[in-house]
Amino acid sequence: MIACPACHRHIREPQCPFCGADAASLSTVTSTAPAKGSRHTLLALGVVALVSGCGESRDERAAPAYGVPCIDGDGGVCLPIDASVDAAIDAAADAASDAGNGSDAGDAGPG
Amino acid sequence: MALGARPRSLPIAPLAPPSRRRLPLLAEVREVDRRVRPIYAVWELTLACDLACRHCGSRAGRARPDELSSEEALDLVDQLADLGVREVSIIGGEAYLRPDWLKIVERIRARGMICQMATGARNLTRDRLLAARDAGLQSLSISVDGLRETHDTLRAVSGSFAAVERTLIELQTIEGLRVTANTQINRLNLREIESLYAWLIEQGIAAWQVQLTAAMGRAADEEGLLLEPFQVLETHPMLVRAKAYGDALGVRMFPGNNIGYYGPFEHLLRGDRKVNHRGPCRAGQQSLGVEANGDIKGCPSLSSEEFVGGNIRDDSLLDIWERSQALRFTRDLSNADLSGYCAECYYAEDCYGGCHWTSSVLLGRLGDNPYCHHRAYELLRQGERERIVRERGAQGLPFDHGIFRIVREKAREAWIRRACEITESGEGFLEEEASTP
Repeated sequence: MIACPACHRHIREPQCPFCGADAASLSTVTSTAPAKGSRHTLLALGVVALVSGCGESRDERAAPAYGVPCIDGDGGVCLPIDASVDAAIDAAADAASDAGNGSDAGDAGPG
Repeated sequence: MALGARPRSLPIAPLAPPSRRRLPLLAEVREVDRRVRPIYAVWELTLACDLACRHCGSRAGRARPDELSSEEALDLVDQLADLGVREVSIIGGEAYLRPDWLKIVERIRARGMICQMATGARNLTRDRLLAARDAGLQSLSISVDGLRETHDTLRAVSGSFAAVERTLIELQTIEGLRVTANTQINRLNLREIESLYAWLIEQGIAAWQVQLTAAMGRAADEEGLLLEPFQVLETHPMLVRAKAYGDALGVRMFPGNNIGYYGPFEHLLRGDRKVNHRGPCRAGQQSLGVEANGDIKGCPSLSSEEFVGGNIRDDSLLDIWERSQALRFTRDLSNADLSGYCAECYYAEDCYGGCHWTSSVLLGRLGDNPYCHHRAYELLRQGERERIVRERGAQGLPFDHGIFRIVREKAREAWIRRACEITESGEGFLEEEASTP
């Protein structure tokens, strides 16, 4: 997904389903770091237009599931997400879908 | 609903029931179960604790009756390393209350894994800090949930904040330990989160992780503590403000797994990542949780009753990881597992209901998460909002939960106007009177 250049909602289509903007014809998001008071979201007539920048892009880092944040730095203790994990999950999901299988979550999850 | 005064005596900590042993494992190991491997393990070394936090999901206080022996714990370290875990966060209770905790830290480091600790720091003395560093601990995260009065109220022990202060000052004189902080956001501290972050930065923290208080354990007993789902409309802009403040000073803020998802502020909250939005929950795919008695879950926060997949006294960690149904649940999620708003959501297949811990302890089921900024925002556009009503209390056991019901209602015009102002400007909070129906 990409962030719509106009309203910054994450979208899959060329035309934003949230604000109607033609994402393909708009310039890409600027990389200006957000400054306090610089965000403007317009909620008029059900149409959202968020004008804002996003922070400088860095390498993907994962935060632990609980407690301690990962930190950049000397000998950094941040770990990159292993892309192969995502690929394996996607492949499994596809396989389950192809086989018409449901999820185990109903059994594993709370009643 | 206001939170009551801090109790004059500490909440009674329950004695945890013993592990449910010999849980059945599945016979078949699929390709996906072999290929996914945990990166992070979060390990409750002991349930013993020197605090009595009013939002503690595990109701920590007393050690479990069947906690792992030193020998078993060190063997588990080896199994974590063999499984491919790269980072172990030790938690409690309070990890340092376990007599052999430094031996466990040493073994974690000896096996080449990163070792970090989350702590309330009430009795984290200089001697303990130095010993931990010398054992190989690399980073610690101090749990701070508000400024002095709020923190002490939430931690239910006077002087808790002073202990945090002392520890942070002490750490400024100790080389070799990265100092970070983590904070839960709830109704009691929402409006001082920014001030808290500024104070933490002054104390020299390198990073800060925030998450919403979820309705688990003692937090499920404190209805007045939990945010209403519509309050994400004020929480997210506040976090964006805080993040911008920290970014300017070189301190990174990490939104926790239950802060999301895909709303108009998502790209700002997670703008410092290559993929600037959150993905689905990876419990049981990239993370695992260990309870002090050797019970294994896909995520340390999940409830024990529903999500413990096995115990390392019965089976190897590898077998539990690959063959436990309870650890497989996120590997197999599909749209069929979603319900309520999430089932019809544009982001359904990208999100699968966000943090399963948050939704499962609230509603007793996966895949319907009202603490979602996209959802609250879209409801706002329809002039509606959601709040929660507790229908059943929790039992009073570690990692338990009650059952809440989501109430969707038409919002008053004044409330809609205020919520829109906050979203448009990124500034301010909902008025207290506007928070009521």
